[in-house]
Amino acid sequence: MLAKVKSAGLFGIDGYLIDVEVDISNGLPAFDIVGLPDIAVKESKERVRAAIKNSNLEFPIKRITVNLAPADTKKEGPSYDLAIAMGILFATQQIPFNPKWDIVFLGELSLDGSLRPVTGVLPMLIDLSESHKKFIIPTANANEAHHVHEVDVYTASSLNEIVANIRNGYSFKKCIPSQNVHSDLYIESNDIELDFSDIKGQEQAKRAMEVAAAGGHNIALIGSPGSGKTMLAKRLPTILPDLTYDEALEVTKIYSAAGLVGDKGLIDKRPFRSPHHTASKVALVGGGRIPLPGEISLAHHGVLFLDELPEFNRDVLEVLRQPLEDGYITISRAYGTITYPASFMFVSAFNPCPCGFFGAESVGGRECNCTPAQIARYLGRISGPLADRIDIHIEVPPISYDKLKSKKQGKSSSSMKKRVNKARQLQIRRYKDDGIFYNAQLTSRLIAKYCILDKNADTMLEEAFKALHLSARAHSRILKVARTIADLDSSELIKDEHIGEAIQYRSLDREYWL
Amino acid sequence: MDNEKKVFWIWLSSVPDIGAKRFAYLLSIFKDPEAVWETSESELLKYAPNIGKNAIYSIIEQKKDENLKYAEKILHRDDISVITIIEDEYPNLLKNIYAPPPILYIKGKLPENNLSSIAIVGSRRATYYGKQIAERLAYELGQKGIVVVSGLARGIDAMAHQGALKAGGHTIGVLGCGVDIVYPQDNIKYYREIAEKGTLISEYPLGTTPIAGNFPARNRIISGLSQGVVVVEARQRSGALITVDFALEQGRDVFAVPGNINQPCSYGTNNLIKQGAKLVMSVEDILEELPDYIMHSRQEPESIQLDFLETQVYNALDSEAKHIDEIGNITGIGMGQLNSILTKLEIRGVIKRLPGKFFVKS
Repeated sequence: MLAKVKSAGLFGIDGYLIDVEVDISNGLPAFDIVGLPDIAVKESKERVRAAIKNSNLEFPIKRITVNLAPADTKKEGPSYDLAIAMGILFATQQIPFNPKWDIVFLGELSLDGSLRPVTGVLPMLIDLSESHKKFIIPTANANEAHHVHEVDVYTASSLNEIVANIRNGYSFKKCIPSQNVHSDLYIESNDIELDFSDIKGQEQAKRAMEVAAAGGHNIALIGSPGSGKTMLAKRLPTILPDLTYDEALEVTKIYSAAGLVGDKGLIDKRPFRSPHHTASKVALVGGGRIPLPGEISLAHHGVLFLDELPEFNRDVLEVLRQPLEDGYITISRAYGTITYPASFMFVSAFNPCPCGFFGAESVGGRECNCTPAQIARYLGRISGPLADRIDIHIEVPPISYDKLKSKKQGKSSSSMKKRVNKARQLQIRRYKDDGIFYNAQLTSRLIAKYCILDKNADTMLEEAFKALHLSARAHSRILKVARTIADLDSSELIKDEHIGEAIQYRSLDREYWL
Repeated sequence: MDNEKKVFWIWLSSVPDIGAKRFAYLLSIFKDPEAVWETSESELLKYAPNIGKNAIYSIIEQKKDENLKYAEKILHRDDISVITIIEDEYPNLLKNIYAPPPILYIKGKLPENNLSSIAIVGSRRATYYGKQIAERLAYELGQKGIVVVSGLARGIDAMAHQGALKAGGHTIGVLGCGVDIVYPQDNIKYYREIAEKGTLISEYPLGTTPIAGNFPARNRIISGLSQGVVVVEARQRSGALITVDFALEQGRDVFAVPGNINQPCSYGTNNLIKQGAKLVMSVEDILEELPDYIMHSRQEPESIQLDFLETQVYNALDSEAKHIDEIGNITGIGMGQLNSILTKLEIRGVIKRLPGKFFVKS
């Protein structure tokens, strides 16, 4: 007796259809799974057997062969449990098969027959929605699945429930999300909403962050311990433009593949990832025997924050270079070659010197004991090519509270976000034919096309290079940032005041930094 | 002096255990290093007992022809010259101190002997204020044709050399290592420029490494070459204060630049003023003390035209560093515009940016 049931697998963040074929014949009792299963799949034998038995159904004492097709891709994980169990039940005709109901089954079985949640439900649903319209998934995955509108998703909490529903003429429960759909990981880890108005003073740093957000520029925060670098960085996502629905789905797909969505719904806020500086290459870019997304992919459409940048291993930092340029990362392993999206804003923070107090003595702060050579060595850990991808340097000096205390209430995130959104819309319109979305992505050809300076600005830039000894690599960075500042000012032409401001954001090019 | 005689000078001054004092003592007895070379051990013991047995053994041990050959090689080098104390080129001021170096290794050109010279010394870990003052004083001295002497160390010393070089003046760097050694390495830019336009001096044989013990002795040459010593910044126990001790011993004027009493960097200088060193507020305070100097009236720098907002920003600053946020609070100008005004002022050279996004009037 033969039965065919559908299930889905995950390759990277792409779902694909898997046919689960179950053949039951007479012979010595056996239970074999073929089609390149991994250990978790092979072990599903035991789970399926126990689950069927404990659901008061009959497990056939016959020769059972399960084939997972296509047979040439490696299958992993426990998400085929349900499909295999259903195949056995159909093949033994314990439940009636109705070819009109072309259902895709997803779910891991518990020994008592209840259904456990699986990872990657969202990408599987999205990618299969073209060809398949009916899915049965574990109740715990309901929130995630709810966001795919083109298909009928049914939920079930146990094998028995499905069997009863089928016997009852295929009457399934439609997927109903729990009320808490729009929460996400970001809020979960920070119960109190962050806002830039929490930070008193630091006006120049906030302005620089606003410029960075408006142009999607990568930034470096430079300052002594305790000067508020991390506080500032954490609030950056609050002024980034809202995720579009497509972007949110894309982010949720990655989190779903990594098994990080949990019982949450769509991730609709920009992610903020801050791996510790002991993180390995694989942790950062992704990998493993079956490559999983790394921090840079989890930060897709959001912010990757590397605190204490020079403390990271140099080779760990070097792997960031290619994804920073391309917006994706390709990982090759024996299992296959997987490409994960990784387009993020790169935010780093570090001390100005090993002791952290370089520059602080200008205001009678603690003295810096580092020699110029030590400072050069410390900053030298950030390689030139990586430093080249950072457009804006923000210096956050330690300064006494009352000096910083501003009389007015600090700018709030919402007012900053309004300006950022406006500038971004300008950019989206301007670059609609160029395949880019914001200023940070400008190539040198596009800089020549779009960064038009008026006469005063041109002279100013030239004079500044001479008078301030800026390094040549600063040139295109200054133009890009000036483009963003002009956009914030709704000016198509870049004027001298825009150039002037942009020059102040290139601290590390100054002579005193050696 | 011809080279044949000079090789013996180089040889004797290179003998370990023979410093400036023993050299002078030997010279007073034998009149000439060549005579020392020709004297036997027993005669040395007999005629020059005061220098001690060990020093005499050293001399005997170093009596090798290869040492003379090495000395001759040095004399043939184009980039380095050697001057003995009995030559006319030897700086007059230095000749008259206690234990003057018997020979000097020189890279570059010595200034004419009749020029006035002033030493500017101070902390290696100086504040921006100190560096700024050191550079300015040296610049103004250089403009007036006064030689600026310093020790080519980091911080104040480096800025003193830089100021003099910028003014096109002559500057002398006195080293605590061989004149062919660059120390500290990050001063290589000054080392090269001084070798080209000024003078590098050392009493130590070529290839001598910069060991800590050399530097106090080097300081006596710095003060010895100068008519006065200006201390710009010094901590409580600073090498600059050793230079001051030598200066007093040698009868030179001592000047000190006052500083913030809370700054550890200014402790030494403020303390010198308390003890009677002349307080320096401008270069005139130094020039007054130079015997042959005629006072010039000081010229006001030409004023630069600033617009309304620029003036506001400029007036908000002073010589103490102010953070950009503070300037914003004082003037009420928004951050975007303020950044751009500061860049404009920076380009015109009226203000300067410091690490941490602090600004000062320059």
